[in-house]
Amino acid sequence: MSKVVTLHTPAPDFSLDDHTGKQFRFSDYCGSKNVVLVFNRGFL
Amino acid sequence: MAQLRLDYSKFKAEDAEILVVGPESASQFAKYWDENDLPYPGLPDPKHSVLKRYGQEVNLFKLGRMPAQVIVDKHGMVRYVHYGKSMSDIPSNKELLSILTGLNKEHRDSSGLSSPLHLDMISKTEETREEAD
Repeated sequence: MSKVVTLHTPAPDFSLDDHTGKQFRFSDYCGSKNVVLVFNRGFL
Repeated sequence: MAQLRLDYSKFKAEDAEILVVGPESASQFAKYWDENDLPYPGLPDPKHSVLKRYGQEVNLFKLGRMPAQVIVDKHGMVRYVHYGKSMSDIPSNKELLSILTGLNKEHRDSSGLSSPLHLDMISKTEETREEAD
């Protein structure tokens, strides 16, 4: 059970294309809003 | 994931954005988002680059990914991490919202110094205490 993300450390930045195909950069949100990152279990 | 939509306005009120990351393809995401009319961004990660960096567990026996949630505050710091132990091990919206309320209060009260309040609350089960002199 490796815990890659540690409390009270900077969240790793990343960039992905969103569901509309637009580029999304995590750092665009970070620093201005709280962010709830949800890692889903797959669509049912 | 769809449960989050029910309380989306409450998350907004806490100045929080929800981001959903998953291993499905861009077209599967587009279809699902279209069908369910989800108001927050969906981030397809078919190469698992972000999923791996954030340490989402994969249960090989159940052929599925364990759900995980991470809350990042306005300073870009990780303040809450929950790795599901089973497919249904997902914190309630209420629990997530109360953490956000705490973060916002702290953000208003302090000049940016983070308090150990949530660390203590959240990681008590993982903590190992050592006596140091």
